[in-house]
Amino acid sequence: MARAGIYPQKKNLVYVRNFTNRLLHWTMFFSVMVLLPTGYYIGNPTALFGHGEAYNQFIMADIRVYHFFAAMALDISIMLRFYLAFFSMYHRDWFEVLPIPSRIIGAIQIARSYLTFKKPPFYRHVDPLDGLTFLCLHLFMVLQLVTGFHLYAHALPGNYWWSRLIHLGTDWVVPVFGSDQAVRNVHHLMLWITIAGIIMHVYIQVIKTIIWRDGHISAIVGGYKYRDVK
Amino acid sequence: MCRTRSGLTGLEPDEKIKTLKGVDRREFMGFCATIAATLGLSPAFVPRIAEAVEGAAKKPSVIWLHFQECTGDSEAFLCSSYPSVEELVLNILSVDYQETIMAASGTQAEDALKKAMADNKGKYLVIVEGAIPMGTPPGPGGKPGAFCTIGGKTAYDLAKEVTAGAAAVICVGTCASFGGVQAQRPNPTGAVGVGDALGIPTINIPGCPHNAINSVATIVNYLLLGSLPKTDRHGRPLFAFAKRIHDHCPRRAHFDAGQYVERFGDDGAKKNWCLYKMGCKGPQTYHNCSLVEYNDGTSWPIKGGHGCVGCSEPDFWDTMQPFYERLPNIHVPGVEATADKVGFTLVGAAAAGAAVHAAYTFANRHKIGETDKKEGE
Repeated sequence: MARAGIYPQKKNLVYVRNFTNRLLHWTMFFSVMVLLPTGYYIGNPTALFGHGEAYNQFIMADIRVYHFFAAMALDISIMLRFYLAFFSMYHRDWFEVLPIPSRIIGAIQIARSYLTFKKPPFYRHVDPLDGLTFLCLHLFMVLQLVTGFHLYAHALPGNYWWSRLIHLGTDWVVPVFGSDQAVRNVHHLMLWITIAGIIMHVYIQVIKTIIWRDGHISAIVGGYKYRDVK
Repeated sequence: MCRTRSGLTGLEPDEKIKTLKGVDRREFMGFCATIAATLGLSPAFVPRIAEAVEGAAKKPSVIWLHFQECTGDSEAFLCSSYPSVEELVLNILSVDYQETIMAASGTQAEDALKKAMADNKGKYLVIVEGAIPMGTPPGPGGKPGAFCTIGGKTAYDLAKEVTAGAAAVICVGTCASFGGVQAQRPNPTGAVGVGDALGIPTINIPGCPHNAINSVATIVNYLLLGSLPKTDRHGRPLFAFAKRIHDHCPRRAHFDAGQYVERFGDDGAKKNWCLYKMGCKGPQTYHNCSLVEYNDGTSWPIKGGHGCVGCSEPDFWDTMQPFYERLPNIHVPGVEATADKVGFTLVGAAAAGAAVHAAYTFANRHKIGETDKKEGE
């Protein structure tokens, strides 16, 4: 019995993620992969680049443009993800990430299973621990969106409807965090929180795939994961 | 320096006052053109500005109040040479009360203030320099606002009395606009800007000191159109505070090229590279310094190789500190760390947690896959 789980005799394929879901995940992945290094450079530009004359190089300008493009890709995919969480025709999962008591108990059970190697119940879409983590991560991303748009809006001329809209939507972060400089600090700190979050997210998915053999990583690529046959 | 351009330097002091109208026509038109440019008007407005300034039927009465400040804004105003201060004070405006430059003192000064208020009720301009303290001094007999009293009246009472009959209130300098240095935490005197103290709309022309061209342009705007300029959400005139220092910075090309001063005095500093990494606050400061510069276009901080400290932003003493760092310390009680250190710790904790769990998993690999009998499916 002890080693049976590593080589399960039979598994069923379960379709858990449709194409839109996977596409949004990988859009977010690639945009975050662009955002992290460009964001770090913008906050703390290294002296490695920029030698020679200024007239023919646009290192900071280019990196900022990549950062903005990737940010817009991320923002749009996050907004779509939030929309689909409530109105998807395939699977509306907003309820699965809410921290209700039963789910917190489930999350503790799953956290325990990481240490005891007891396999938790099968969750088709998202397990409670992942659900709570994704809730935090997505709220962080919304915070990043708002603070980022506020910093971006500094450069906008004040008299267009869209810049007014951005100011209207994001100016509240200044009193909340205290100052423009604090907003900048929060936006920068989120870079590291995102990296820490990615490390944990990837590690947990790898562990699940290796230990429980239920194809978590396959699911985000092909849409299917495994379920043990009783 | 500034007086030499007025064309009056060769004259005796009393002669100067008599012949102020005799300012060189070309210089006067030069002043009008400068003001038109500052206000963002086309050259077609230059003759109209000249008419408005010269031909004002009655010179607008100005009352200039000093509260908690260093008189730096008066200094900046006095160094205005387009027009010269004599022209401004005696011919264009009727400055009826200004504690620093008025000849009267004591009762006579108080009478001048009362007379100016009574004669021009509802029509005079109030220019305020300095913050208003709202706190109460400790100890017996302390009454609210007693940190700053003039002629026995607190700054608050005086400001309330004088602004009640004013056509407009113009706050010059960051102190009058937003509280300034005395409003920095912990703000022992409870200093606030004039608009906040009195709860009235004011035109704020912040800066430390304010740029005289902006206050003169605001006054000319009033003379020309009979109204005050449009302002942003902090009450700052849009003609001067709509764009950031960064947007028109002469060193912007070096910012975009990724060329930064790493240390004061290094090679980049000698080549006038961007001061972003030295903590320049140009990217979050709205002011027109990079276009008009200070003291009649003589210089301004970034031209002198020093980053902007954001002196025209509300509470800049608190919010822009430290002035020489791009990403300043995060204040956690008892600990000070930069965002990067906090971040490295977080990432390190996440990675270490993953590594410990991986090792633990490897050590217990024989247990893997047992199904939880009670809860598993």
